[in-house]
Amino acid sequence: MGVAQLWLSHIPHATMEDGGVTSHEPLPFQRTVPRTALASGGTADDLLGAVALGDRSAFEVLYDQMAPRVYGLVRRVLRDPAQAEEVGQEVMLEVWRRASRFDRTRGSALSWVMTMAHARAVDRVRSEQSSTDRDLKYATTSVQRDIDVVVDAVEISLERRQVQRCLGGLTELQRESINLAYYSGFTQAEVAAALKVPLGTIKTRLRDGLIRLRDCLGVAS
Amino acid sequence: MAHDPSLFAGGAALHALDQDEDTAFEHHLEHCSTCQAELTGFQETAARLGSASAEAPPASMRAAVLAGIAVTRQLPPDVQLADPVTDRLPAAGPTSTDNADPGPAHAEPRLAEVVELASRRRPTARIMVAASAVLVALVAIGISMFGNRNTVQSADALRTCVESASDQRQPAAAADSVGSSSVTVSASCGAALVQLSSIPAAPAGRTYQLWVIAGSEARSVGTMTPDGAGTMPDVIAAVHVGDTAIGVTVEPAGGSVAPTTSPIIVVPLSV
Repeated sequence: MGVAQLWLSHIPHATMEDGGVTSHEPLPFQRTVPRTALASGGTADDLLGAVALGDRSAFEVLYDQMAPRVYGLVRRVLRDPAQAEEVGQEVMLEVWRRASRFDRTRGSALSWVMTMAHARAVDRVRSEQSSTDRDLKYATTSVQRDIDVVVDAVEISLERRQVQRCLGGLTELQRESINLAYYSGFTQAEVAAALKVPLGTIKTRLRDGLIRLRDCLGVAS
Repeated sequence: MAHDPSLFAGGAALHALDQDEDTAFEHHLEHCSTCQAELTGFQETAARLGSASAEAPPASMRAAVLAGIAVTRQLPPDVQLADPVTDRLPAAGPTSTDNADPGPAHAEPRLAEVVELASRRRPTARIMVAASAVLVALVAIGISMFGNRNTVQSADALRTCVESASDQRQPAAAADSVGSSSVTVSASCGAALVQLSSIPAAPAGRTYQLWVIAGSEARSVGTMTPDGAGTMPDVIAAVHVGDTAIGVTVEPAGGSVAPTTSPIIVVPLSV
């Protein structure tokens, strides 16, 4: 029998007595799970499931998959690398701590982690600005720069190109509103003030813009 | 708020609601399933926006987080507890907001939640912990000798066990296997010592990967690189009832989740 046939054949009877391995090691073989294979599909959800059972190796793989996204987003919002690292750490530790609370019927692991990351980053922005009045003039001038950053960063990956293409499909007001809210951590009211547009208009633009983005990105709703 | 909260899903997904709006929207969500669905879709969308800003985090962040998890207790799963009097969960518990908005605004309630849950851990929780321990024991554990220090210690213990086991066996490799294979299996140790030699260097961009096979299922033990003399590092692999073979394939660098090529070495575990 050739090697390949042997490989594929089912050997019907159990060939080992029960060895009863009782190691409490956190599944060391998972360290060798290749990262590239985990970048796609629902694997992050499965990893998070393993993390919920205390699997540190699975967490390491999940970390390598999520941390660049978490850190990149937090740094985008906060700008300061030192603060971004601090918040990024908090977020990833929170992923570990709250893994059992992840409910895949309410969205993907990516969404769960990124929602947490964004909430933390925005919280940091708001707690800082509560002591000092935000200069909305500065905010207005930063709008254009935000958009430019998106445009410039796009080369890197297909994912980025897709996001960029979809952002390009928005009206200017939709795009500016989403940029200010998401990447700068503005509230709807602050976005309205920055863009000198009525609050009601901003609410509709945010929602319309997200609907358009969602459909463009092919996100199941 | 005078504005229709059904418009708030956008602002909520972007964390752009002020506190009043946030409260109004949460109440609204409770009886608006379409709003919940819309929020979920918007959060997925926002996650893509966020991912577009991905950049490599500093290595110090990884080290700090991995050190942190070693000393950080995990929250138990949310269980719908039977007794509403003795099992008061915080309002922020299993509601939609738990998954949707685990934001820092809730940091303090969460802390309280930890203390509260820790102080009156339910039998159910204990059962779940026990169940997960069983799961850990049942899931295929491949222990390689090229992992971290803890792993090496375990591997050493298993290796000693296999080498001194009275029930050790040395099944032969399939005839057309590459190189020379020595596999020592001990059912009482639940492990196999795999020693492979006379293996040519893997082609550029490829690596060898060791698997434990149970029927049509393959569990990765790890990737391997032969030394200059063609000898692979010794590997201890956990084996269980039902495992049928140990095999090696050539995989893209970094390894694969499942074998993608025909094996070059197969050692059937049958007697």
